[in-house]
Amino acid sequence: MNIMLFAPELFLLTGALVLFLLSLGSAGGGKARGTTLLFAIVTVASALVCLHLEGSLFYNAYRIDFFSQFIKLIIAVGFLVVLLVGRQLKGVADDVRAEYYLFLTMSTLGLMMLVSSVELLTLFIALELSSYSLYLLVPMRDDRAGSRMQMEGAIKYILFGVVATGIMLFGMSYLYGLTGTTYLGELVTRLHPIMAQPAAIVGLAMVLCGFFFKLAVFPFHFWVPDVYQGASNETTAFIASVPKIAAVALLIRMTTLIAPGGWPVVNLLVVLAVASMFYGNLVALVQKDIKRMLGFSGIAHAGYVLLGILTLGQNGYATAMYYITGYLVMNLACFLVICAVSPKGENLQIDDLSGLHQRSPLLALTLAVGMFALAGIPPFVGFMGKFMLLANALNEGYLALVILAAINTAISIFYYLSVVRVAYTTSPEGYPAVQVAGTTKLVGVLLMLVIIAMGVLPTAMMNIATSAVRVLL
Amino acid sequence: MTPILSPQGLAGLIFLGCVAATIAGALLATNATRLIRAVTGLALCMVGVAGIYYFLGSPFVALMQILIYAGAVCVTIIFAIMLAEPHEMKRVGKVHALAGPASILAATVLVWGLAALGTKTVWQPVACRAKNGTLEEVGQSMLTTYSMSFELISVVLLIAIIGSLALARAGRSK
Amino acid sequence: MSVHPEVIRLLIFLVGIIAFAALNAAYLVWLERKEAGHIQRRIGPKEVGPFGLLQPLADGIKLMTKQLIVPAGVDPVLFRIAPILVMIPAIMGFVTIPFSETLVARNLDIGLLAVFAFASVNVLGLLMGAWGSRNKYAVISAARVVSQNVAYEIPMLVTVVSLVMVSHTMNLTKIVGQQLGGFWHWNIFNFAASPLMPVAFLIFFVCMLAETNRAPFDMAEAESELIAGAFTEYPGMGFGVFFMAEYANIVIGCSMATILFLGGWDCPFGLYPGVHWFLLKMYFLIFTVIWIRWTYPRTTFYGLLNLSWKILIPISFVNLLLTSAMLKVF
Repeated sequence: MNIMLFAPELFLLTGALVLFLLSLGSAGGGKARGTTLLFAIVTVASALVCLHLEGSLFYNAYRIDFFSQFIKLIIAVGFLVVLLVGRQLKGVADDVRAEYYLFLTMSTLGLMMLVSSVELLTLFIALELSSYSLYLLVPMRDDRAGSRMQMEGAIKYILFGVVATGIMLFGMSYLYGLTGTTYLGELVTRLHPIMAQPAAIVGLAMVLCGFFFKLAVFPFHFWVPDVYQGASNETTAFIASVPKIAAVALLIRMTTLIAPGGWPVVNLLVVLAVASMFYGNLVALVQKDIKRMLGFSGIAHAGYVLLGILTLGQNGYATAMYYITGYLVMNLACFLVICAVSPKGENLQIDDLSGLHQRSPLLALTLAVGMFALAGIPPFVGFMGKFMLLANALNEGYLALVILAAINTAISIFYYLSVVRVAYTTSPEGYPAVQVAGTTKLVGVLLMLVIIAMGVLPTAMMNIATSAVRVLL
Repeated sequence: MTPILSPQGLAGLIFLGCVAATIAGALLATNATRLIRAVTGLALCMVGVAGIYYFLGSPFVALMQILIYAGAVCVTIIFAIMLAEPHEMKRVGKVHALAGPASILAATVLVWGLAALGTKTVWQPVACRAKNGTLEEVGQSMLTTYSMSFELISVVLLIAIIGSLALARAGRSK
Repeated sequence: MSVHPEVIRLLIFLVGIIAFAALNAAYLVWLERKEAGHIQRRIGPKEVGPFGLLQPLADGIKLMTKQLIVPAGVDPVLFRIAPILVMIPAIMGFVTIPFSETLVARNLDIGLLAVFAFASVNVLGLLMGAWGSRNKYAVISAARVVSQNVAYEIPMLVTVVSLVMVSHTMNLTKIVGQQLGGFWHWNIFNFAASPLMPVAFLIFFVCMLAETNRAPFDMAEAESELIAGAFTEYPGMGFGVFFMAEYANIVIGCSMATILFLGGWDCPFGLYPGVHWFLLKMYFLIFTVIWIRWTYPRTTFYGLLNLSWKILIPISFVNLLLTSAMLKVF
């Protein structure tokens, strides 16, 4: 066994072990953060080194190829950025920070293992590992106000998560019953001839539900607003960004199982995409709390991503990957601002951003770039992503879907831009000044650069995504 | 017709008993007003399911089901109820008038759907029965084919334990 | 209509097991009272029949003729089904126990697991009875039972796992089969498998005492503080059934100790193996259980939990590691 194949995960695991030892003593948050940052950097570096490796581990349950390694790299980078964005970790008490970072690391580890798993049980347990850690992160928020909303969020998160995984397991049992194997590679060959069977279609659709939950697609979105609101800003930044990458990757992996007879699953994806877009965008219009708003916008974006996945083609998959990577960057830019502006880790109302351009011009600019990108305005990555998604869907003949998505984009511009309006046109009176650390500034600038670069020069990223997806097909 | 007093006949009777226990337990678990009775229903349901596993030729899974679900999970739930709810409360608040019919309708649709799924699908018998579900085979596959999931489960459990400790510690300081 | 011989066999075993459990419960009470009497320099029951041998019969008649009162305020459903729920797993536990090479109701390949699976359900019925009684003594007792059972199930199962690793099977008949041919073949003296085998037997025995809530671990029904623990509210035969289940569990526990460590029906000197040896060993263990009860005072609750978590569990894990290391090396 080539140990390099497993290197990024091993580094994360070592990091988790060190954090566990730290959590046994009375080490403060500073030490834990330093450790986590160190291991995150090492993980990113090792993911880069291991980018082009190929192989199988653990009796072929674990597949390392360009697809998985590429997504692992994105996840590792996302993890690192989340750590930098939530550097001060205002929302979590100092004495549980070691555990907090431990769970964050484990969740990332779970996501990384998820994208490499090509066997249903391993996949399920990797998903559980990432979910469990996230369930625990939500109620760890320091409850100064005594509102206990983090508990409400956590309970909802767990209950909906358990239901979604239950449905997924049920679906897996159908797939296993039909084919007698849990390996995805064998599933493909055995499932294709019997794709028209009702049990195959329903089973596959049920398996997808587990990932719909992670991605917050329409009927599995109920946890989103309360978890986003209840979890601390830093936790939300993680939940809103990194798991979605893995969810999209797994949706791509699972939808490759769909053979021509599986059109009902595709129709289901179409319906869910439309419902997610409309629901997310319409409800986001009336939100006052900025995290809730971003939550609903996340539901809408999940709908956009499905546009790429449901075409079941190489181009569609690559575009979906491109889009979700862009979404990660845009979202993290917005959360960077939220974490920095919130004085003690409270939730921010949109009005709390009043006059941000005077209180902190750089943060205001970052927010504006993030929001413009989310709204899909050129030259940012959001525009390019949506454009390619719609163009691809149009090519594949989903005209009605494209029109509905375009309408949604128009709706969404309103609420994104109203945040920018508050930040730029209102007076900062009555709101405290914002202290911005140097690292935060640097990360903000970098995020903005990436948003613009990915928007202006999409081909490089698209080429990589295409070659990653080609591995699967 | 198989006479009742033959091994097959008795087995059929016991099978029906297991099915009845599963359904009755499930109904009790969902409809009981008192939490503790719901857990009783859950335990009954689990035992019924264990019986069905036994009939499907997996005595190991059946006994594990009893050991873990009836013997450990249900006991833990009852213990939690005893610690958390010294005064048994009946369900508070009125349920919406439409809730009953709607849930019956939903359940009917679900049952019909699953039954149709089972009957409409052409189930292909797997060429050879891969595993007999004996102890040796379960052990073998846990340490070979499923070694990854087997190891990962322990990590998940570790996280769950640390997490509950961390949360409980935070709760105690208040 | 001809009845299938297998069905007849099943019926005989069913009746036999229930009769065995009931008879044991009845006469173990007699044994307990007699033994307690002699340990305390009394005589014990002597009026009813020779040596008081008919005393259990009188007790049974008394219990059965008592009115079954369901006190006001109890949960009527739970209160009624709890004794049954305690009794059923106790009887089910006998199903896979081999009393001799042929005398076994069902020779399952995983008979060992079956016994422990059914034993673990036992506590569920106790909990329900206690909670259903709505009695503070009962609830306190139930809470103790659970924490005690959870604590002692771990070292017990770990010890059993190390034994299964040695014998490569969970079939109880085969486990005994490997120990035949004299006491030096018994698992308790199987030093080649693990030098800690006698310690493992001790752990198993202590855990068995705790699992069946026997003194010195009878915190669950500490009469001086909790009246009768979980059974406080139960009158007549309701109480009687709980009692029967308790003794049945002791019999199962001692049978398991006999099978796993003491060679089951094997004769210590290689002569005439058979069911008599099994019963002899089992009843000797039961005698010891009762002996301990009337000799040692009750521990404190923390002492009980500390014993399990801080001493028995670490030792049982050491035993497990040692056994696996020995297996790997030799």
